[in-house]
Amino acid sequence: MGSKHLLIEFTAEPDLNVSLSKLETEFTKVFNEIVQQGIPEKTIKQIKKRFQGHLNDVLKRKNYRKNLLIDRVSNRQPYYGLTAERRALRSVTAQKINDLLTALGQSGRTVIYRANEL
Amino acid sequence: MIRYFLIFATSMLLGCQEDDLNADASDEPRPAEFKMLPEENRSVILATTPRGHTFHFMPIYEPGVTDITITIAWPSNWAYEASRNPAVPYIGTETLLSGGTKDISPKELNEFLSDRNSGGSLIPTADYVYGEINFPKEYREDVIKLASDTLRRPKFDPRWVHRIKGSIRQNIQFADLKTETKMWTLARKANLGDNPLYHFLTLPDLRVIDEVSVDMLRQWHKQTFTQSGLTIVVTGAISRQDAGSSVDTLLFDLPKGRVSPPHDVNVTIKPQTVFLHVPEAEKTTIGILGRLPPTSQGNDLTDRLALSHFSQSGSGPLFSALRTEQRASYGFQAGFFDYNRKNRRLFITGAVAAEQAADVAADIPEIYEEYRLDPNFETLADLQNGMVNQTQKNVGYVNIAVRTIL
Repeated sequence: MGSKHLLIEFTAEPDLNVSLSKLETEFTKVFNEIVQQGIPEKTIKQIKKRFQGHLNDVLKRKNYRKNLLIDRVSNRQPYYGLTAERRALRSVTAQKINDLLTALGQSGRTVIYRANEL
Repeated sequence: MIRYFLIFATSMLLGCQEDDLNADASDEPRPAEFKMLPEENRSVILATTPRGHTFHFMPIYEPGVTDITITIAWPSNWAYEASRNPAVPYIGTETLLSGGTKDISPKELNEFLSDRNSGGSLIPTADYVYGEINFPKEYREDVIKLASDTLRRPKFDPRWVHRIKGSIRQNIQFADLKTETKMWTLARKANLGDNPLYHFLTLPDLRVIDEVSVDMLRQWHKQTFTQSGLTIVVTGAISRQDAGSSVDTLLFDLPKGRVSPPHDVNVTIKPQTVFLHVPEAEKTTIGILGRLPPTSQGNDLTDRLALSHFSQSGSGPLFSALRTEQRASYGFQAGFFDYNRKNRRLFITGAVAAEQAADVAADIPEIYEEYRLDPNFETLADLQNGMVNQTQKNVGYVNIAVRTIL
């Protein structure tokens, strides 16, 4: 949202014989735990490795980058090259992510929306 | 008044030109031991695994190519039996893919594949279930073992099945809101009649989804995933020997099964025009269908080229005629789809303002007929070259190459 804010969405559907409020309670419990304790360094390394593989696969394709460039430029957004994308990924640390999570945990930062099945 | 138009025309003879575009005689089988022969690179070889499964093999020994794709087509006749629940193959394939086994939970399964930059898909069609796995060569043994366990001993956990049912139901409900879905559903019914194949392709009654039981899924699994009647393709950075042993590991311990004769639902379609009134639609959608010979008779590349040329934006006959004669600012597209292996259709479709619909619907068959009888192929060579270039680029991706061979 703009260049300074981030909107993160989580959605979940209850399993058979599980109520929506039970799901919400459980989700909130886990969410608060993670926000307070942070994500372990090992998990972040694992996720970074997956992204790395994804970047290697996708970004190397000429048409993908060409289309991405056209898309970014036509939407007046900055375009980062392959090297910059890789550098950006390398510079992500567990500390940065967990700082962001701490901010999410402050009061007034979350909105919960409940919807019944169609 | 807003409506849908559907026009069915009989046998449009696109596939009748003779050429040898699809003459690609398979190479003779070569010695079983693995050698990096440069001439084997990207050539399609018919090979046999140590346990006797025949497979199409296309090694890609090129710098930068590290992926491997294996595809197996399992024949299936589930879609043709009225006594069987038509939703089972959809729910079964999804559950099999993500539901885990006795030894590995759905979450672990997903993590395992994501960490290895690997993935798979299972696609149910009327005549086959197509299974595909992609993985980098360094994870070959891990991924093959997991895929083999998943195929042999899937865990049809009722809770997981419930989730899959929910997402399938939601996807169908969402698609059904679209006006063109309503049109193609009606076309399918008018073409096929109210038979099991129509129900399999459409799932018109969503209650069948709720009625799927774990027992049904197990029965479908047992009779579909056998070792008989398979078409197998392996491509990528892999030796023939490793390809053979990977296929054997994948299929090991699956029931022998038996090959049932292919279903011969050869639908004869009568020329007819169907109108569907959808009061809430904002535009009128036109769909025109024609019958094409099955791809097993060859010439499908000719069809593809002829139809691409016909509908090419800018210079194609369909585009320029509609622009000039109707001054239409909308786009029409043409393409193919299959109801099953025997019944292939050509389609031409697009959306127009309601007041133009009748004229456009009448024009398109005329434009097509003119093209069929007296085509102007001035720009065909360009299109042909463009398609060759695109194909060369595409087969650089290991999984697209495997689909092409299949």
